[in-house]
Amino acid sequence: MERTCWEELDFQYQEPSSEYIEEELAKIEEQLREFCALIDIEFEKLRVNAKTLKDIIIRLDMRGLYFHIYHKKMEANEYKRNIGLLVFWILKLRPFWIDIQQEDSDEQIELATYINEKICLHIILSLLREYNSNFFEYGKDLVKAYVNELEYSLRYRDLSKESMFLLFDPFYYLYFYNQSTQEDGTTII
Amino acid sequence: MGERKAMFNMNMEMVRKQCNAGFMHCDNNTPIVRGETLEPCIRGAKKISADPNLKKLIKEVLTGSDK
Repeated sequence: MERTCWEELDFQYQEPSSEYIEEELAKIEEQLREFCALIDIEFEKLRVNAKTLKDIIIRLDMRGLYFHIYHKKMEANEYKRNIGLLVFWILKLRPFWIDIQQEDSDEQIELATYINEKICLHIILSLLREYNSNFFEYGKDLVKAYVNELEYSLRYRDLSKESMFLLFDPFYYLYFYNQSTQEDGTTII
Repeated sequence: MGERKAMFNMNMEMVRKQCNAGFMHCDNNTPIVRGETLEPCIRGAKKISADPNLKKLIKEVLTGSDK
């Protein structure tokens, strides 16, 4: 029996408007400026393929549509969207680079080589600072060890979108736990 | 061809009962703040930069100067 019901559908995906694309590009630029200021590199040294960034914005929009249709109008939470999707696509499509110069130090060459991973790490850490700030109170050594392991995983391990959804789910639930816990340790729920 | 009477060692009534049972599972973790995209990361990035100790820690890890 043929699946003829789909023939009745008259839906074609529409890309977001150019205004939306440019708004999202501006947000990415703002995040990158924070990144460059943090690690003391000139923003002008960071090169970007804008077409690839537009492609990434569209991929996120498409997945948003998928969630809306197949998961009952669900809107992805911040961890799914910015880590599971945005970080995933940056690692896959690698829109950023830094030209390596003859006089560059080993550290500068390292930074240029891992630039996409480091930008992704900054996105992840920024989100954790916003919603899970107590993560950074677990001790400097522990935080460094976790972040170094995460950077290795971003570079060399097979990380699907869904595995990253799952990896950062605990942080999402911890946010609500911290919001709901009262002084005596009991939860509001 | 007549209507199928059985499948997988079950009668069709049982097959249809199982197919119609339950509901479709969905993901439904809603955002902490609706309608935002990269905004929480930008806010978090500014907070990192505004905290000297945290800025030093994150800079060390990102630049590899702690290795």
